[in-house]
Amino acid sequence: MHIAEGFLPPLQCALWFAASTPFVIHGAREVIRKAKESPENKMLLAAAGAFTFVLSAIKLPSVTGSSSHPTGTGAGAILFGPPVMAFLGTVVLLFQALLLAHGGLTTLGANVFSMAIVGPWCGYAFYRLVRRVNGPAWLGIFLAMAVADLATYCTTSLQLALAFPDPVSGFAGAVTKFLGIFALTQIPLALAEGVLGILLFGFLGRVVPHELRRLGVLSSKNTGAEKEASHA
Amino acid sequence: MNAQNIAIDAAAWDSPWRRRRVGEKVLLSGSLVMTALLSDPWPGCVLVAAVALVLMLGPARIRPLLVLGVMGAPAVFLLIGTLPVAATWHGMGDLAWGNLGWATDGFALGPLRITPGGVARAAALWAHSLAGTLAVILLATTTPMVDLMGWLRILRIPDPLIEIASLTYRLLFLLLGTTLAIREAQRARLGDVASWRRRWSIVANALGSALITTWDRATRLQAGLEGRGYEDALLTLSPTRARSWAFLLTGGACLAGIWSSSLAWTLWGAR
Repeated sequence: MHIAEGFLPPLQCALWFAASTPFVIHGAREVIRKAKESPENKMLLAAAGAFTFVLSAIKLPSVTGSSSHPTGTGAGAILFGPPVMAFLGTVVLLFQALLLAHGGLTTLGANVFSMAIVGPWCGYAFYRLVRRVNGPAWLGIFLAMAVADLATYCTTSLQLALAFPDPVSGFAGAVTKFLGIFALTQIPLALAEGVLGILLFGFLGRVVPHELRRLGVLSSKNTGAEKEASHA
Repeated sequence: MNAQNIAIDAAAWDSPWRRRRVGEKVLLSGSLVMTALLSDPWPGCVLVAAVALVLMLGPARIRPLLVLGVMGAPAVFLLIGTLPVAATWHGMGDLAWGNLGWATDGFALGPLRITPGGVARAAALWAHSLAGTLAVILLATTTPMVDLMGWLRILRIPDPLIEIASLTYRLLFLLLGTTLAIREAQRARLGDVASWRRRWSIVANALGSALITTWDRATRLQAGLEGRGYEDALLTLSPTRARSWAFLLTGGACLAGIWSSSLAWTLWGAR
């Protein structure tokens, strides 16, 4: 999903940077607040950033000027909230551009907007919605992971369509083209990421329920898993 | 992520350019990236790519095989990525997917049409992208990430943010090593020949275990640092590096050469 270096026209690069900056600054303030709250949080956030990097570095080629891979930002949004992911996602994207030549520096603003802002916020919105209506936790996690992934790819498609409107059918034709091509790889990948999220949080709930409770993912009523873990 | 990617960082530590000022390298690489973005594909982007390659293989002493390994995958990705730009969408109305072959204005592929104009646009995009990527790799292969993080302090980015970014970078290698070790252990226990459903569970357990191990190591790192008096910032000393006017002037001359060639080519074409 990362748009490669040099793919966007200069004006659009600047506009996406301008659009992303307020979210990243807001996220950075949140990160500083969490770091001051407890020094342990610093390490936890760094570990989450590294986890997102490794997960989103697994890339598959996609014929859209971009690539397909799990994003991992849905899990981060559940654990730390979307503002924190705006900052962590920016760090991860910067590392990927420099260490993996994956994404780019001039396209960083556009990539941050899709992967670190739109994806986590959309995923988190679905997660909160399911929790609000007392839906099952697994459904909230599944939707958070899958929707974060799909929202990221839809945003990337729109960004690419804006940059490369089809000479014949214009913006609408370009959106159809990019979304159609992404759908081939991304819909199965998003569903897979959702399933993986359920299994991952199930594992974390069994092994480190206290951490999930500290982060507000598990409510204090959910003591079954913790009891099971302490018995083990 | 693979060995080539870690090799970028290793090459950056070994490069003689490591001793150069980070700001000077960022300026050179950033200027080349912007030139690749703003100049014409020919000769601008081609010259940017050539300058980046010559600097990497020459004074920066990066192994050609490493450059080839690092750039191989992105070059293919970029090539595949430009395909939709080469194609135009004619809609599903007048063309069916069975429509395949040469038409009057290009090659028809169902509702898509690949025209000479589209191919030229895609080639130009590939040139911009490849040149820009090479300019980024020039910085990545000559500047270790920790040096870049230290340099960010000059830009007055708050310490906690730089520390989290630095820790993320350090934990990457730990997480990668842990994940590989867990996967190896699972394979040794025939995890790869289990049922489809079981394999899903195995992958989730591997990721969960890697995350928990990294958390645990990070917490112990925190305890260790606290024991050594860590309170606010993880400040480290960095060696004093002198400004190199020769480096700056050479970089400036390269950029001036690229821009004047582009300008000359444009004027020549206008005549």
